[in-house]
Amino acid sequence: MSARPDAPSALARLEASLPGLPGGADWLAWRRAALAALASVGLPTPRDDAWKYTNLRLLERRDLAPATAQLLPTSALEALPTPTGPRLVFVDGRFHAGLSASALPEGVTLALAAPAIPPPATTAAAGIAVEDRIRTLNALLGRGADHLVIARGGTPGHTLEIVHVATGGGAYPHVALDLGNGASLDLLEYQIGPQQGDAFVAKVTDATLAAGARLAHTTIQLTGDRTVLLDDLRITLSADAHYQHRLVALGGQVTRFDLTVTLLAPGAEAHLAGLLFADGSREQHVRTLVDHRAPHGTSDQLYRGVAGGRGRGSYDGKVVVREGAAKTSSRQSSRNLLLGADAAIDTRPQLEINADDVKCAHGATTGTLDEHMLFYLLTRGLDRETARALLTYAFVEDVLKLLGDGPVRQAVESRALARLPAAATIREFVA
Amino acid sequence: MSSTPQDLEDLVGQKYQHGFVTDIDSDTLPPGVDEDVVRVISRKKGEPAFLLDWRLKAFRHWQTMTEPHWAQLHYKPIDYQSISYYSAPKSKKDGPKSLADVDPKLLETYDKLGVPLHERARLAGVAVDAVFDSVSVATTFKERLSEAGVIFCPFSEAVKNHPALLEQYLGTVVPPGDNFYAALNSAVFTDGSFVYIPKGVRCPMELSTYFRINAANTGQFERTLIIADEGSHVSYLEGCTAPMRDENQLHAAVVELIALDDANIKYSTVQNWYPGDENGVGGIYNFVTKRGECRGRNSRISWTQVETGSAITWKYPSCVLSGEGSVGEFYSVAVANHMQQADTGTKMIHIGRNTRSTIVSKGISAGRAQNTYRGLVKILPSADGARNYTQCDSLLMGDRCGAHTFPYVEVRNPGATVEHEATTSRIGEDQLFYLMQRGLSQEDAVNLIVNGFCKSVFKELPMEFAVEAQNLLAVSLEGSVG
Repeated sequence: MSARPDAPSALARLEASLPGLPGGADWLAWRRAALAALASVGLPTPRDDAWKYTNLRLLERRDLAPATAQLLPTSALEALPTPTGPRLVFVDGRFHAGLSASALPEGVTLALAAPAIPPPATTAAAGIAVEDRIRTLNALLGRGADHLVIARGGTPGHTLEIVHVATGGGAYPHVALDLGNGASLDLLEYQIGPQQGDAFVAKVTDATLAAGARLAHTTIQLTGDRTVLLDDLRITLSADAHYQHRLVALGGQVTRFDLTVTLLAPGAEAHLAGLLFADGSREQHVRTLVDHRAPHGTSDQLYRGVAGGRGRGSYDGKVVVREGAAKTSSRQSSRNLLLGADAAIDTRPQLEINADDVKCAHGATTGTLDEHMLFYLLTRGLDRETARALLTYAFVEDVLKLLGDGPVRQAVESRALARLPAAATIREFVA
Repeated sequence: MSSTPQDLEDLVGQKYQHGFVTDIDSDTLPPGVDEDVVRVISRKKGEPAFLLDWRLKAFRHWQTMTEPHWAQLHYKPIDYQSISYYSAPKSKKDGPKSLADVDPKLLETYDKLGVPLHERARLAGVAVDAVFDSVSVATTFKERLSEAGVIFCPFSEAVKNHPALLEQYLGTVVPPGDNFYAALNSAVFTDGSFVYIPKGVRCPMELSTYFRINAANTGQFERTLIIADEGSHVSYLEGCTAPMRDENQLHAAVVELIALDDANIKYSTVQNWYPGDENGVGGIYNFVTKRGECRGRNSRISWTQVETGSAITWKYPSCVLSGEGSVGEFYSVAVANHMQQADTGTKMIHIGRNTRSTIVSKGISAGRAQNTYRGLVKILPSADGARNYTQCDSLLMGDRCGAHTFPYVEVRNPGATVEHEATTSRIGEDQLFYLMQRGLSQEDAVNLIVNGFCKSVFKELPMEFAVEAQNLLAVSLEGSVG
């Protein structure tokens, strides 16, 4: 990959903010080297295959320097539904003890990143692979990984809430989850950002699930209209581990979730689902890579995209079945609704199969609301606007119903409804 | 599963049946390509100045391009300077005037291939423009076609007799700089077929070309241009076999189809080039650019392909649907066995209103082969009411082969409906068991299932090809699964 003359400027401006970051001289040297290496290749562009549908050009004019203002986002937190379990709050990527629960459930420990740890031994002098560029940006501007450890055999039923708040400027959170043998956790993650002003979040999440562990992970993305959010998740599953991810992407200007799930040992399962709501001029992107490396793995993906106005959405999903990963069962479903004349949806459901005893399928559709359904509702006396909104609501409900019946779903639903015309009428119908 | 290893080896080890080399003196250029080679080819063909300029422009552009590597294909780098870019059977002064003038050895070759060139041609009802290496040597049924006003001739003849048509249409669907291989082809193409169907004419017979790569070390650069004028209708058949050889041979053809108002083009291919031996030695490298444009209202272009040969296949027959209400179709069966690699699919570009496209792709992988479907469906903002349906299924036979599906769906118009579905599986043991307990042998059972798997594509083939295709499939695959 050749250096892009147009890319480095936003990155080059970051040089000045490096000395203010935690760590000693060795860290500063490492950060400088990493920044130089990253600047030489630039951030990903649509010319990079995995970023074909996401354009980060607007970052050129943004200030990516880590945010320094620690405004307490209390009002934003109050707008969230009442926590169903202990809540951990990260403000601009930094753990905020004052806003977080003081006590964690038994078996759950939080180990914050310690600046005493020496920087990574690897120098990124050689070209940084496309899939590692956002991670490199996170590492060189962040504070290191905060570890959340769930002890082996942890009793099921723990629910934990993590709220990531961006206040403006750059935020570089890195959370590493470590689930021991048979551990179990329900993790509800909110991402909120400033309602006014620019924000940039390059977030990294790692989760390692030991044998028989279970992680039910829900991400509710409610960032502001000027927030660019890149969330890079890497999940590795040992034997019989079970990972579930539910994504509801409602906010942001350009947001992208990169999910890499590796099924390392037999019997692992991954269930991914998401709703991408790209109204206005929002862009919502999801890229998944589910890598079946062992036999008897199961994965399914269910994504629904809605693009209205000048919104854009994309689903770029790949399932890889390695040689020897027999008895793999995999499904991908991507359905998309285009509501605006200038809206656009791109989908790319990919299969890469290297074993014969497998069952893999994918389906993708993109279209507008069904005329027959609309007609039916019109004959029942609904006006066109309400009928359209109701059908759109029914479409997004496919994913929302996976959130259960609790306050989270209600909160998300009411926010989604608020974006549809005739919200009040629909509430009457579905209440 | 229960097939004996011996069965498997017998069948998998089957030798390529069309492997033979005809010994004819070739008038061949030394290996390598530069502007002089392009000029020599153009001069040998007696081409007008505009075509030489066109070739040179393409060549200069090609030199600035890099070989694409995005395909799921792995092969040793190709040295484009080690290939000879021109090879013609020795001509007698002005070339053969009739079949009697044609080298008997050449005719023998066709005989082995079963090309219906003599009376057999009439019986088969097929007009054949046989391409032997790079120069077309004989064309039959000229009269019947010319009565209908149909032009069907070698490309080099069209250059001389119909330069105006050529200048108007050549490179308008696949521009000379379209991609690396198309640019190379545009610079050094030697021959091919040219078809023009006049307004309102329904071509009285199916047109057929047999391609055959013969001389050692000569890349074959064919150029086919088919123009269907308003309200016309044509069905074109292309079939290929090649002699056995140990060196990799490069083939980079370009096919352009143009359908004007209400015209209908059906293009069918059976490709059975030498796939290399079971260790992946030898075999044809097939990098083909095929594209049709539905330029007129309510026009239709249909691609049907059965791909069983070649060591490397890189081929995406596409449709640009610019005319309102035009229709594009793609039906494909791709079989890869032993060490073969195929990266094939289609592109459907919807530009006009109410355009429709259908894609049905069936991939079969066996041995250690890799088979990839790669397709793009693009709906532009202007394509109100566009509709696409895509189905691509893969069948795996053996645990060391690969089947990949990379569909790209890009929708820019809310009035469009696009559906894509794909499955990957192997032949079910329960299906085999059921058929075998009804008294079928294991082989027959596999054949039946594979033929059923491919049926929706085979039924689109013209009758002559449907039979050949089923035979080809049986030879390529019988017993690969047990």
